Amino acid sequence: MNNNIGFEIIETKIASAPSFKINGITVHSVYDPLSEARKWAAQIINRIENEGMPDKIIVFGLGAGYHIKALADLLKKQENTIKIEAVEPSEKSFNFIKSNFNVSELLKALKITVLDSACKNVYADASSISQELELDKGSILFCELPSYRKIFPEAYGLTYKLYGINQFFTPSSFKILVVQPMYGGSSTIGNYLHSALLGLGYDVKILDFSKFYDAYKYMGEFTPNEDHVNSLKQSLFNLMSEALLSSVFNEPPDLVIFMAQSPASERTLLKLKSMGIKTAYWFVEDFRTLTYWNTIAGNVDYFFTIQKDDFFTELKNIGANNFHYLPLACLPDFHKKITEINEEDRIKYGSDVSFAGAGYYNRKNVFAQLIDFNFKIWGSDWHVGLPLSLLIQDGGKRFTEEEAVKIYNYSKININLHSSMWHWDINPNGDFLNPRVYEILACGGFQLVDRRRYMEGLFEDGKDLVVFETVDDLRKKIKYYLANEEERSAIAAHGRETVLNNHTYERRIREMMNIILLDSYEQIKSKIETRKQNISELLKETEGNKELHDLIMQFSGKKSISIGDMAESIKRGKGRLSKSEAMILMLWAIKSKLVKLQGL
Amino acid sequence: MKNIIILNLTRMGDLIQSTALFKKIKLIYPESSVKLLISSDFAEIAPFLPYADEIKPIDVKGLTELLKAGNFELTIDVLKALDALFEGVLTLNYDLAVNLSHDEFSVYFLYILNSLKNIGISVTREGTIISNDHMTAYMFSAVKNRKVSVLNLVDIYERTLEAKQDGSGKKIHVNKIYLEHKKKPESLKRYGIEENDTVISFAIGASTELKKWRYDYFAELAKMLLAGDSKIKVVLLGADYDVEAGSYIEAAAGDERLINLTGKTTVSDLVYIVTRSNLLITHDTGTMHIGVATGTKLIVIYTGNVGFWETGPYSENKLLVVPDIGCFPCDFNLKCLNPVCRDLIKPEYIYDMALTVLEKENGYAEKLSKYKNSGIIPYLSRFDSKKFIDFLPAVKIKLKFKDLKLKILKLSLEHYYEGDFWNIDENEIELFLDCFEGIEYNLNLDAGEELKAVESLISLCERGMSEAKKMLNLALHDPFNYIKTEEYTGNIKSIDFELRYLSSVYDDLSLFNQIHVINQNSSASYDLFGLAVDSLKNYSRYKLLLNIFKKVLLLFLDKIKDNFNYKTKESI
Repeated sequence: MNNNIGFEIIETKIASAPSFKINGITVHSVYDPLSEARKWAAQIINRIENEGMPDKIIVFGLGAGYHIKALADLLKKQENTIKIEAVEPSEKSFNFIKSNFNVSELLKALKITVLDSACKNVYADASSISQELELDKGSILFCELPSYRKIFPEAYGLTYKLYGINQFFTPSSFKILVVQPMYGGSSTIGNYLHSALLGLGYDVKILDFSKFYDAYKYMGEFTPNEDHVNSLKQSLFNLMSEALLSSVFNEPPDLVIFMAQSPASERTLLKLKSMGIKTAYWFVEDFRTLTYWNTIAGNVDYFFTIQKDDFFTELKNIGANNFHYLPLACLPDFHKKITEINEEDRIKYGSDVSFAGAGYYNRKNVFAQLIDFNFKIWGSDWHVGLPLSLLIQDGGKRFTEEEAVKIYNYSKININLHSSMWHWDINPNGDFLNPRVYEILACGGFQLVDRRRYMEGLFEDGKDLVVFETVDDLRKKIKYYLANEEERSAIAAHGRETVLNNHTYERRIREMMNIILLDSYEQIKSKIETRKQNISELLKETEGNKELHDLIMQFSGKKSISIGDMAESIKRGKGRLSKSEAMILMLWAIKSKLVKLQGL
Repeated sequence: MKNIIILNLTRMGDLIQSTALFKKIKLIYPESSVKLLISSDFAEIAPFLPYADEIKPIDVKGLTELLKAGNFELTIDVLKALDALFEGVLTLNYDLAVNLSHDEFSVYFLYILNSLKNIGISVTREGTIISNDHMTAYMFSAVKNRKVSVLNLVDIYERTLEAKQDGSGKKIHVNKIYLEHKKKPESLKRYGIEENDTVISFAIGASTELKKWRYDYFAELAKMLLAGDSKIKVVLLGADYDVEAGSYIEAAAGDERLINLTGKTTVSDLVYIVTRSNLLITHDTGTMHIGVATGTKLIVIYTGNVGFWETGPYSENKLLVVPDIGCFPCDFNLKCLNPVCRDLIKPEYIYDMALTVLEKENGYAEKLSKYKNSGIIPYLSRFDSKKFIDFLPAVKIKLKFKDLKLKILKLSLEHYYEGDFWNIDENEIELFLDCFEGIEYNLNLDAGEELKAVESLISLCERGMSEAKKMLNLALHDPFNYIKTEEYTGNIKSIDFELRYLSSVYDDLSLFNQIHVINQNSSASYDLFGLAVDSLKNYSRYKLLLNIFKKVLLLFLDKIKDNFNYKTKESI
């Protein structure tokens, strides 16, 4: 929000009702603010008569309160007990109003939400604004003090859109497709994202390309010529892209979320765009190490990253302007504290110190200096000699995510050293937080982690987790916290609380969807409203045809009526097809033929 | 008066090919009112289609675009478009509905019509294709393996309805396709075609590249024809997508007597021009069927994956030119990168044939004999003794295994569908074998393995009939015995599985099996008795077809032995 706000009181023709200016724009009439307020209130009453009785009225703009008082008076006259709430965009303006106008009664009677005290990050906090205003509860009439639209256009736009989103948008009416890569860490994150989306009620499907991984690995068996192998791999990648398009064409989603390294070729992205489908890409990699982002960022609608600053500069340099910072998170339903100890698991997965992850260069160096501890290392690519090899568990096999949860739970100390292929031990310029940071905390594990730039503001050193600066520091802290169980447990508990309150995939999704919905507000609103309108029109149109009417009614709860869904349901039925069912299957036959003819 | 509705949402060529059936309907039901539903894409041909009292174009394309625009959601506009499709169609109760389209859309359309009797494909709720007439069952079986699709589409359409001559009891067949000029054609002078011109039209287009002859060969041919006779005008015919090719041929020929009408004519004009043409040189396309229907002299050039059996010119004495190469016709799914078949059909051959055809009404065979070992095989069309269209080579060639098998299959099917089960027409076999001067060096006439397979299939059919009879008895005497019911239906399923497995080795047997599968799935009965009767009929028919096939095969082997002095090693 803009903090440069100037105020000026203005005398009006009504001595007891002064007006004022904010940033040079008059808030109330300089002639007769009370008459103006009454007219405004009458318009609102008119709206209520036309649109129906809401459960509450939200007024954007407290102003000097004349309009709200006028509205309250009119409602009282009608013996109407509709609740009124107010939204004041700026704390400064709110303080100015309190100091200069007689609004004490209003302040007692109304709930007033001051936006910029709740709104440091407009997208992250958009959901908290929605929650604060309870925009998803009951029917709401949203109105504004007209001058505030000019004075606080961004805040007005945001609040209006949030109101609109809650009016027209329900997760179940929005179809999302999550596209996974063949392999790699981001596919795990994709699974968490999918679970969280399901949990929030979205109509979500996931495209799993993991079965292509064996073929991908096998490409090298045909020829030792690297160029040829790369060419073959590219062909496989193209095939996956076509498979994706085929799936999308068969059942078009509203949004496709690509995980890092999933088949998002330029052709695919352009095709999706031409179909009116929004695309988002969550680049959960280090942009310096993997540089393919420069072919993707410009072609997707929304590019989410786990790094900002330098990465944002690079993105701007390639002409992208659609990027947003979105750190990783935990999935509380999966990353949880084990309450019933399994002794066998505790013996297998428990230790004083543990690390779960791949054997990168820096990790091998650092952990070689920790071999005197009761230290277990889990994961693959630890091709090391003695004595470090003695610490590698399960023969250096990859561990499952379920096993990771056990490791985090049963270890007294979880070391989380961010990987580096070039730094001997710790990357002094490391910025993003890896998934382990959140997952260990969510499991209630105590974490020793190397310092990362983006930790500031997310987690507190010594309260949520403990940061080490050097290998020496690490050793000291391991000894200290092994000897201080209570302090260790308190930090772990606090860290768990912090991560569950602020850093879950559900929260990330809300933020992501806020960005997308706020940015594509008109388009998505139009789409969803058209669907709703379409259903009510269809029901009206088919009133004379009970058979068809009843058929459509079955699907009206789904917010949109896809012919594919209807056909599937009909085919599961029994007995002779009714005429209406046959008509729907005719339409479905056209779609099936088209899918084949598209040659996808 | 019978109300009859015919649904044919296919292409123009198919529409013309179905006119034989339209005529037959009028022969069987002279007082009927026939409504024909066609795709609006081909509405232009409607004025020329006879024997239909009303023709209604159906805008499936418009509906498709609406669906695409709405991401395949049911919208008010889609509903309205659907209603428009049925406008004027559902107002009548139909005595007979005939579906000649090949797709699921038409199946549900037919279903909605709710006529007293249906002919054509239908589908169960679960999506299984079923049919209630034998020709449709054949058509949908043959489409699964085009290699053994030996019956012509006109013959198939025409036989969906059976009719017998009064008195003789012989079956009536309409061995013709029709187009009629319901109004006087406009003068073609505006296209540069004068009354005294000898017009030779080239239909240069086709639905796929593989079906097309070389454009430079078309140009060469045009040059030869134009140089040979000053009265000749060559007219290029084609759609919008043939304009580029037309321009190429026009430029290459470089003669003002070549009139390039690609992309310039309406369908009406196309019909008039083809009718006016003294000769039409064409691929196997809709234009070819126009030529056949209007009685124009034809030369049909075949390349790529188009065989002549299914869609060849449905008229006697039409000349087909086929490349003499082992891979012809190639598979429909093949994307041939080197279609040498086109190169074999030299322009000088077609030129020579054109002169012959222009000169004579029929009796080309003599003149065609010089094309032996030339790289092409000319074929001539005829109606055989069963009134099916047939194509025989006009030069003496070596008998190939493929040709032999296809002929055996065709003859078997003809006898089966004509109900002439045991009097196998040996003259037809003789006539066929007369076209060959010997057998290919590698032709193995040892049919022992296939005959064994046929015997096994026959035994399985007999087992099937036995199980069906048990089911019949059960239905009559102990219908609530679910254990036995399950046992017998399980046995029938196993038999059907075995039939499929055994027949899969041979294309022809596989075709028979597929017909049987469609027949089994098409049981309209919902009770045990009905199912048993249907199964009994189906196994009986399958057995009959196999026996006919076996008889024809053995006859052929005998005749080949005699005709070519060949010693076979079959063990029966």
